Amino acid sequence: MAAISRRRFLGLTAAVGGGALLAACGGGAPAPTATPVPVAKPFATVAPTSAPAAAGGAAGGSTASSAGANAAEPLITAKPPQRPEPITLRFHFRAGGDKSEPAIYVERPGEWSQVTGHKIALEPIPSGKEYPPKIVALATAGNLGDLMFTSVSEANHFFFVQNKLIEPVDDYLPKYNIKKEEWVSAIIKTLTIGGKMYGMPKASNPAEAHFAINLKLFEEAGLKKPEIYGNSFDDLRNWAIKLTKGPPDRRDVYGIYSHTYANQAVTNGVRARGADLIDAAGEKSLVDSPQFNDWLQWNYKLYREDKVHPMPDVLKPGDSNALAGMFAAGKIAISQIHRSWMVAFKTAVGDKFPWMFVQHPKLPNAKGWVANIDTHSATTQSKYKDEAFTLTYALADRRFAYVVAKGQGYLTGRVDNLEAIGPELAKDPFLQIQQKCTEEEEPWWIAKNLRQLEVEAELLNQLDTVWLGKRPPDKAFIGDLKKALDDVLAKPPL
Amino acid sequence: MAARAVVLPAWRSLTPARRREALQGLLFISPWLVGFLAFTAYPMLASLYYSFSAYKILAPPVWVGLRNYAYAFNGDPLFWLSVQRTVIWVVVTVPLGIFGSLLAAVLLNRGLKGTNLYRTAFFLPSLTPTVAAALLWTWILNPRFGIANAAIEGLTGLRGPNWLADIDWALPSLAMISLWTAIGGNRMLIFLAGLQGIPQELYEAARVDGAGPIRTWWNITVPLISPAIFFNLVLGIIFSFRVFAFAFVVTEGGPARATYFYALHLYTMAFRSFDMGYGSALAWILFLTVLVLTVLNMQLSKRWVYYESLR
Repeated sequence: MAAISRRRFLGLTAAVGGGALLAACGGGAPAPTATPVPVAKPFATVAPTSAPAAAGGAAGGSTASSAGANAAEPLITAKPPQRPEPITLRFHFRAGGDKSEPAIYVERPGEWSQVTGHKIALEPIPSGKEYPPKIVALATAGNLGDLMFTSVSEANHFFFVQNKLIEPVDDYLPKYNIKKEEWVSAIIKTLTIGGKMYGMPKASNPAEAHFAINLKLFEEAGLKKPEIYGNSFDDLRNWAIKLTKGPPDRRDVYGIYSHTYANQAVTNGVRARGADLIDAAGEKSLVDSPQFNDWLQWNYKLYREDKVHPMPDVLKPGDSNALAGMFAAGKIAISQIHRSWMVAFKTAVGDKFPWMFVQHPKLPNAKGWVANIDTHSATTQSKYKDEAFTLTYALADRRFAYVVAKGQGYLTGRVDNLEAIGPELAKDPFLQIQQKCTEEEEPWWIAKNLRQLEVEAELLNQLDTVWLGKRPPDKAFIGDLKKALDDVLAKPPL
Repeated sequence: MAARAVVLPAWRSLTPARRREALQGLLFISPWLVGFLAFTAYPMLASLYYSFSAYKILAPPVWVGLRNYAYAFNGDPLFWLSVQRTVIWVVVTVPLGIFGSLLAAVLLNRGLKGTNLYRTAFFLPSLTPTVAAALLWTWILNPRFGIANAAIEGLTGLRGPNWLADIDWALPSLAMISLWTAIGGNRMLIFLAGLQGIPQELYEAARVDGAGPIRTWWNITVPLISPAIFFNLVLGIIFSFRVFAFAFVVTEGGPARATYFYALHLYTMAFRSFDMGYGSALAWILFLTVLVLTVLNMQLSKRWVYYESLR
């Protein structure tokens, strides 16, 4: 083994340490970690055979593509101005939300790349709790990409707007001949803040405004096939009681699953009865309304009196895969369903039994379903705002509606969804209900202090005490709940 | 200035060789020093400043004085709720953890056949990553399909509790999971080392004097391992106050906030609501609480911890 003097050792140590320090300090902006989407993607393999016509002309001109079914139809209708050199857009998107969202982020961006010649570096970030902190960390470091996903339901959209992380779209819409009327009005109202519209709607959905029905269990129970629209709350409860099998403390079949573990579902339940959860100003809760009480009592009966609803020990709240599994196994006869659970339900049920969807019951004075919107937005830190905007539009246009309906089984927020997806797909009864419910959407309430997540956490934790039998759903409970929610709404703004 | 006046003459008085040696020493500790200053000292001082400000990360902090601290003690209902949950946790898990680890160490110290095997078996759970242990136990404690309830039902005919899905059982269930990973870990090894360090002559002398096992345990074993008990107690309190991972992964603070611990509240405020100013205030309250308890422990230790070398 070669000897090394102390002086030599110290010199080497200093050199290595100094080099490492310099490397750490002088790295500059890190390169995107994701692999850029290749321009020459084989789109022919993903192009639809019945691609619908795309929306009208665009400022940047239309580009015909042989990848579509009709060569005269453009893949991309809003095309950015030419650049001498191709650029690469960094795109932060929510991964892991809907089952196969990455498919959306590969196919459609690939088409945009093919037409524009630019590349896209996809940078997936897990959805839910992880998404906002990572975006905030990137923004704080001045390293935010060119465009990103935002969500109204996860409450980050308004936070990003308030903190000026995303660009308003008002200047870009006329430039690319895009009309706001392409999307349902509730979306435009929700995304318009301080007179400016933020984000291009990836999708809007009415949340859990539908129920899936196991028709085999209906038939076995001697119940006739329900109507799609116009069912009452009593209808659902009575069916659930008749469909339930087994002893009360451990059912073999639960009659119904009513989603009580999400603010959007609670809000829909109250709106269906003609009220709302939070006032329009976002400053006071409205849980002391008779409509909220009706919602509370109806669900309490399902949980605790009729015992026709699975308790959290049987079905973990919010576990849509387990819910789909229980429905497919015939353990739950009627299940409230969110559009993003469709893939899981369809996969689980297959052709095991005939099933259908009905709309969530609603009273004649019902308010609209929540407009549960996801967007893509160009960021304020982007150097390529035009390119970023046109890509966000490619993820909101007619062709996108088709790609999503075909691949994901749900609709986006376009008014012309059913036309855009073509006659074959439009036959799908679930998509038809979705479109009707989407058109009935109204803007979701926004806490004025932007503390939606805290409001939701308070609401669901307090409700837990009722579902788990710790408190009766009486006036005292509602009084305490109202105070707790109002306290959160009175906190300083974020 | 005083420090400068003291240090510089000392530096000047050094011979060139001693100076070179001092520089070499500083160079050797510089990686740690840089790491400490950049990743511990600076963040701590910054968070102290943020705790007196309204700081939402994406905008500069605005000085608000003691407002965050006042809100914690006098306005935030979740502050006291989370404190209560955490204190219960500390009171339950620290003594049980210490007692369980000591018991395991005593059993392993008896020189039974296969001691090495038992030692490995006891130690293995502590090597399981927290998240893996949490997920494993959610299945074991699944009320309908878990083996815990299957065993209870099979042995007694009674139905087991709903464990993590029950408001009353959720916290004890998490405590049980935590103890499973903690009892046989480092704490047990420290006790074992302490037990093995007790001179056998003391036991022999006690036996000659007619002391029984309880008297021997109380008058010889406990005093001589009291430094180990003290060490484990201080660390146990510090770690228990920081309880986070199990609740974050398994229950998310539920059901009905039954497992909403202080650190979870801190995390929610700082990283979900981005109320970093308030989150920093919560962190400093936790730090000061643990510091006070540790100092108190140190003071009280003079009454019951026996350091042979100091006698």
